Amino acid sequence: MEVSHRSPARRADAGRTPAGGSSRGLARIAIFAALIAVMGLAGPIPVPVIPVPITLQTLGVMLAGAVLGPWRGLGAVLLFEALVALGLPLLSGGRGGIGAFVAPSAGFLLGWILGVVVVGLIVRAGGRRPGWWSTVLGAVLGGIAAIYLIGIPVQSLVTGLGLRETALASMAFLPGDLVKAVLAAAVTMGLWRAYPRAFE
Amino acid sequence: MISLYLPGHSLVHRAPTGAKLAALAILALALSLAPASWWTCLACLVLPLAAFALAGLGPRILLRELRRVCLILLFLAVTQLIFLAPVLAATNTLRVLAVVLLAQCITRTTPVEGIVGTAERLLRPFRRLGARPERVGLAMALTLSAVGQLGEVVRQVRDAQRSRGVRLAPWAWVMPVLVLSLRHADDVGDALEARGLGD
Repeated sequence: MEVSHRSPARRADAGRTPAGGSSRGLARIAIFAALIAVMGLAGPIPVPVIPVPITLQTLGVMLAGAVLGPWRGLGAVLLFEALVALGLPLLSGGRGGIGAFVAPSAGFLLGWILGVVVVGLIVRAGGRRPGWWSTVLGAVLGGIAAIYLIGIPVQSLVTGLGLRETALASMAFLPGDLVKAVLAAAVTMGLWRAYPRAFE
Repeated sequence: MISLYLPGHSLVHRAPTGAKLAALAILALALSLAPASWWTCLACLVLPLAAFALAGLGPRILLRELRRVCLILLFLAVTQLIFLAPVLAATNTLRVLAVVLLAQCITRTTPVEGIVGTAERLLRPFRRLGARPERVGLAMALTLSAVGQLGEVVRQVRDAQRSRGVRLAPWAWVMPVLVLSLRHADDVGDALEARGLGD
């Protein structure tokens, strides 16, 4: 896992760049990994009309990509998942350990890794300033489509249930995930107004 | 931050981590290659029970692990029963249960107290490829301390919102917590830089 994204040559003259050098990047990656954990600890939220309660953990993944950009966002997700694999109960519902990476939902955890990069690439495509529509698009393509793309085949493989049936069963989570994508855009735009430095 | 590790002196506790992971891989492979039958179902129940007994993990721990997976298993069993024959559905569901329980048996018996040290040790061979284990260790230590702090911040923000008597959406705390924690991250980053720990 490469945390530093600055070559030594660039770092020499980057001592007081807006991003504040690589230590701020490192701290943001670490704090965002903690945020993803805290969003899981907050527990599932029942939403009217939607069949399954939503957890905010994937909202954390979407926000990591949108706010930190693709590579630091990737760092936050990898860091979070490494801590889970090492045995900390940081997944929603207090789950954790190697069991999480062999369970039917393991593919969704792996999907976060691709998802956060896709979110970051789309949201950052038009520069540092996030836009409403690009953030919604990024959250839907990265935070939902990319995660399902890996999650559903792995779940089908682990459970032995056909791909089509697994995909059909996963649709129960789609409404909640769409709510989260809109929420991610709203929070990202709000953060841009409240603390624009976060996007530097 | 509490880890899932439970100290003990059983055979499973003393076995090297690499051996435990290899055993898990072999058992998982064997279970997934086994044909769907009631015999396989039985093996899926006996194997994790034997592993838990061998590791000296009591029925209370087993129940706690079962409670964590029971909703997922129920969901799995119901969707499988809709589409597949009972034997197939039972084998698939119990296979998942067995592999998850076996994996958790490793998590429960492998110490992670030196979690940062463990991670740094695991990454050391990758140093030649440009990985910097000490930075990863630093990031892990920062995350672990931040989980506790941010949990406390979330409680405070939620209490403050509730005491104003406004009924807010259950995710209304996300925005203020995000601003507070990113500001905190920048302070931490500056503190690291000031101490020469940033690079």
